[in-house]
Amino acid sequence: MQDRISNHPNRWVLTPVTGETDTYDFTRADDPTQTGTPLNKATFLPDATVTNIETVTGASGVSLPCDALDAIVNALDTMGLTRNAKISYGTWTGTGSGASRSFTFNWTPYIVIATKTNYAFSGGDSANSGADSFMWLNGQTSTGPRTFTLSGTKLTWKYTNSAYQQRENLNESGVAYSIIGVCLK
Amino acid sequence: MTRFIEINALENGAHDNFTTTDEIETPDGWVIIPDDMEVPLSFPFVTFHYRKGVVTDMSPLPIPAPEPPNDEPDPNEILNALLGVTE
Repeated sequence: MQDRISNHPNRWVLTPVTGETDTYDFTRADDPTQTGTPLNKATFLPDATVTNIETVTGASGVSLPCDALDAIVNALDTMGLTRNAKISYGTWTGTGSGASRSFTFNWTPYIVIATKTNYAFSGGDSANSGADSFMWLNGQTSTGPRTFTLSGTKLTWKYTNSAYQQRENLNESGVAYSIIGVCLK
Repeated sequence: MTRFIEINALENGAHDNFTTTDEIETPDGWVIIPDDMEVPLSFPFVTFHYRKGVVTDMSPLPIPAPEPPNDEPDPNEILNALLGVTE
């Protein structure tokens, strides 16, 4: 778009309308050197653009520029271009107390790996070798002896039948743990 | 990465805690441990004061002896572990 450039900005000629009282026609008298792009439908949202947006996005009733922007944003969201995955990372120090342990992510976790920090990841399926770590995939309610509950973005894991509950819950007193999650908005 | 600690202590005197890279609001009943605060070796067995949602000082507490296991492992559980059987 181009601005209007003139030698006498805001200069107008007022011509009285014949037969009317206090009524005038305004005529620009600013002596433009560049007339600029007109501010009208053809420059803001021409019919061809409306047709193109409605055809590509499937939207209907696009009339105003804001309608066009909404249609485009909605289409992008549907296509997943604004639905980003995120890696979340966290830690905690075990308290040695409680029947379960949980971690709340910002977004919905789909893959979660948790382990005792500075400790080899061992899969989490065994009451012994896997006691200090686990990998969880969205939808799983248990991996071996450990049960999982996803409530919103909060993942809770619980182990109740072992003599080593706090170890299984990744909550041994004073022990450092790490967790990483692949999350979707 | 923000570090949070629960204000109320658990039964054994420890305070639940976590850090996260997510940008979250401080959960109700929790406060933030400043990045530059030295955390006692006894953590999470600590006592602390806070002001306006941020810990201002932290002192160590004695670490209780670990509780003995609640009960003996179930024999089937041991057998399954040895055999690699998952439930």
